[in-house]
Amino acid sequence: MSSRLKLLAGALVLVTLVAVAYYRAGVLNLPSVPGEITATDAGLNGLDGLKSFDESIASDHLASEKNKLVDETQAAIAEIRRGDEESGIHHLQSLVQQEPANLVLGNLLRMETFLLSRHWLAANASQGEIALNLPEYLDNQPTRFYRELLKQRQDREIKLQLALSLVDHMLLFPALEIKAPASVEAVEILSGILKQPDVHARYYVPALYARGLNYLYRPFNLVWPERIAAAPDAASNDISLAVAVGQKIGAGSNTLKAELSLSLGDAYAKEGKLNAAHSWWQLANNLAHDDKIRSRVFTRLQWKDEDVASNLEATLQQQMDDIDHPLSDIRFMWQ
Amino acid sequence: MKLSLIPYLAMTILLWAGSWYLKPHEVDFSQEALRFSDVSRTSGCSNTHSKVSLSPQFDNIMPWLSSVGAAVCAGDFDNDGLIDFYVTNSGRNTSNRLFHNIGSGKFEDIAVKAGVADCNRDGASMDAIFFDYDNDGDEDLYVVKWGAPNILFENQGDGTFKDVTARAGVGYWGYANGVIAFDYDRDGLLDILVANYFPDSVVNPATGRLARNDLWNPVTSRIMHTTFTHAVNGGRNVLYKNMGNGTFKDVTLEVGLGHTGWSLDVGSGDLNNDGWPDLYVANDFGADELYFNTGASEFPPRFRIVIDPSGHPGIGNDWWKGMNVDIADVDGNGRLDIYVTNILARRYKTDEGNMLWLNFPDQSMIGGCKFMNVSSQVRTNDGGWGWGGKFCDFNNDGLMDIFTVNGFTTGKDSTATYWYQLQEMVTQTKNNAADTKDWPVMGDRDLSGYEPSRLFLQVPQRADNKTAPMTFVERATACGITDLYNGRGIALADYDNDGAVDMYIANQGTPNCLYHNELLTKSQTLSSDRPAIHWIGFFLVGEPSRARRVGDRLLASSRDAIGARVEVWSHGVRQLRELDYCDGFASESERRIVVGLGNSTSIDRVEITWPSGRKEQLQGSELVIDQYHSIVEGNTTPHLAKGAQP
Repeated sequence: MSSRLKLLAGALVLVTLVAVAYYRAGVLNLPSVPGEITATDAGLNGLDGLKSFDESIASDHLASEKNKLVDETQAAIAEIRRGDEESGIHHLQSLVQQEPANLVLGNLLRMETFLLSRHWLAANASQGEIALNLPEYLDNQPTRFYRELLKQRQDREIKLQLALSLVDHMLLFPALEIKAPASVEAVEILSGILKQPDVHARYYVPALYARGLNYLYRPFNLVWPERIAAAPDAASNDISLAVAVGQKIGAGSNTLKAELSLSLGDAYAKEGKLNAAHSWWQLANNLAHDDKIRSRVFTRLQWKDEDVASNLEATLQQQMDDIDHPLSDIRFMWQ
Repeated sequence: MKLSLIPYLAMTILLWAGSWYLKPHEVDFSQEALRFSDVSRTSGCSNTHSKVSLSPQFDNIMPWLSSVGAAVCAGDFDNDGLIDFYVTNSGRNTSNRLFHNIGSGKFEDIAVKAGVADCNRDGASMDAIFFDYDNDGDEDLYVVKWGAPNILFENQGDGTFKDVTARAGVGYWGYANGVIAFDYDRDGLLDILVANYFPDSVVNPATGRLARNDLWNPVTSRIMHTTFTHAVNGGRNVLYKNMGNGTFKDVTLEVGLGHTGWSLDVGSGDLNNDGWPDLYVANDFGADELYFNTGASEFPPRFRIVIDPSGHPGIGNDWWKGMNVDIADVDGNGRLDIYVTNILARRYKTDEGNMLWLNFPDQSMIGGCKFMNVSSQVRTNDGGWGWGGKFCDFNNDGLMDIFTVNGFTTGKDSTATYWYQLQEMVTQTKNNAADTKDWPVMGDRDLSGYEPSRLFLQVPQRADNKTAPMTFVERATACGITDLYNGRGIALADYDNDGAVDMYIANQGTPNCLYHNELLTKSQTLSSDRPAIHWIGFFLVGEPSRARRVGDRLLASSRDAIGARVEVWSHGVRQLRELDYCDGFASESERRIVVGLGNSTSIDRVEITWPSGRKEQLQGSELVIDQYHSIVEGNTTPHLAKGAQP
């Protein structure tokens, strides 16, 4: 074989490989992220510390005498568990007031309030379907608490928790008429975080991811007023930037990366970009060391192209309906 | 024969054989029991519609201008369990009719006694609806007109009505051709949407100022549409929000319905399954409009117009001659579809036809809905010069059929047509379509008169081919619908409570028809080896006082329960009905729902979603086949409806 022929054959093989790779993987382009972005800018600093704190709270062992916060948190949870719910919630609120930037504490307050509200609604469902007025300490909580806190301080973490508490509300009250305005307000709050004068504010991953999920989980039959209608690619824009920042920083567990990749795949699927969706689902599968995530990926990869839209809509709805594992629980960030 | 011809001959035979093989097989309906007979004369509800007569200045095109006004609405105004009909006339000083159903298939006109006859002293009646605007349990009446204020009659509960227009604030002066009642903001109070045709004011050439567009005393001859395809100089539609204290407020502009097309009809229905009623406006001489209600995402709700991917307002090319809109789930996919009548006149080379827009999910579209016009494929497009059109399961086989009336103006001779003069006028640039002076004299020329109505029956799928595409077969004449009148409004109503839906048809300038559906009478007399045809009926009563708090809103059902959904499950198959009985050109059907069950003698369950959002379920064992059931919101014990026994 002449050298020219070998060259030609080699080029042909290369082109074929590229074509196959492109077909299989789609486009994985991620937005660019400035090199000077830090883990603090991205909100991905101290994840190990958050994990350790979370584990300490959950631990049966007595907390170290030096760590009063863990001790107090455990005490608040104990109050709730022994039926002194109102006092426990107020106790948790006071701890969040002391440490508003602590994502673990903020998440704990929201999840405990969510759980109690859920139980109360279930227990009182038979009393009437109309206006189930939750007790004062649960009514519109912790949304009201965070709104008050925001009047005192403007930390991005408080805004984040307020936006997530609106998502909690959407999960508890699934009527479109509640979900839609709550989603709009949550997006406004998250956009406020990302539009801070600090140019690096737009790379705050928790807000990007939360806003992306907000767009992603909006049912596609909902009609939005034109002034607040989101662009069709709003979800993928936010989640892909979150992924890009995560890659740049190199922080976060594989579970976090897998969750982000899975969501990005979903966002692309919702836009109808199936090649990109498959690629990100595949990446999520590769990253996950968790059977639950793998199982979710496997389900998606089995969908026929023509059924992706309807299956995705149904799956996202199922995830919203799964209040045993609320979507707004952000523990996966540090676990 | 030359040998060279053999291949051509063979090809012709093959093509013929192929087309014969591929042609959908006609279903033999000869043994079917569906049969209609016109009983208008013998039943005592006959009316010959009187046409409107405008200023002699428009005599050259008077047949055109006076081609609408025959309307009918059905409702049980005296709550005796028997459906009555209100029928319009349009000639000056003529009386409208209220045909009171006195049972045994007989009616008597009590319009004068009831106080609803005298509607044409000023202007001309064009459409009417029964609806319970004050939620007091009896049907009130709203009559819309040309050239005079619309009239709201409040039902006094003693067989009479009282004109409360001034107090209610709904006396819009304009040129209404259509009206619906629906609850756009789900507050439990029925709102009114009036579809107007001519503008209410025009420029007076003598003064250069706007003046009332009085077609009896005109200030100008420029009263017509500016183009035949993109005219926006028509009347503005009016949305009246019911304030709950006996008054209404005009919120048209607030909610985003300020378009000024030449509207002939409007229909409402929850097209995107978000619980909020959407709107389709059928316009003459311009694009139709499709609006999605934003109620789920903002309050108070507004309407967001849909622009299709090609930039066309509406859901696709609608041929610019929309006359009628009706909305129902015709293909059983749980999404409401749309039927729009249009013009098909092959001899005029106009083969646009009626449109059946099927509704599919599509995440890339507003509201997640994609509409595809499949009318040609399923053979429901040839409706002639279409006017009223309604979805209904006429033969109770569980499949939605379509009935449509047609015919524009009947001349002395159908071959002496006005079409060519019209084309000449349109194509000569010296002419101005808006100016009646530029229109050729119509005289007694014909324009798609003498047309038979169309009854498109949905063909059941064969047992050996359950995946065959939906198709229809036209059977009007075969089923006894033989009149050649120029039909306008169709009221669907089971006036004799036998479970087979009958039709009152308002014809323009000619006698009306009451087609009695003899389906069940016939089926009972057929041979014993033929299984009986079954049905189940529902009379829904909303409870406005049982509002639901959803977030910071209160959602409630009106007493008429317009917008309620009923899903009947039988042998694993669902039939969806949404209560939007005001839809359809110049007409309103009765508010009971009939669901055909075919040969099935049982149902699994019935799910009702009320406009308040409340969901209720009834088990099949609680219901009686072949009966109407009265179901009150919040009370899941069904009762047999009053007068339900035939």
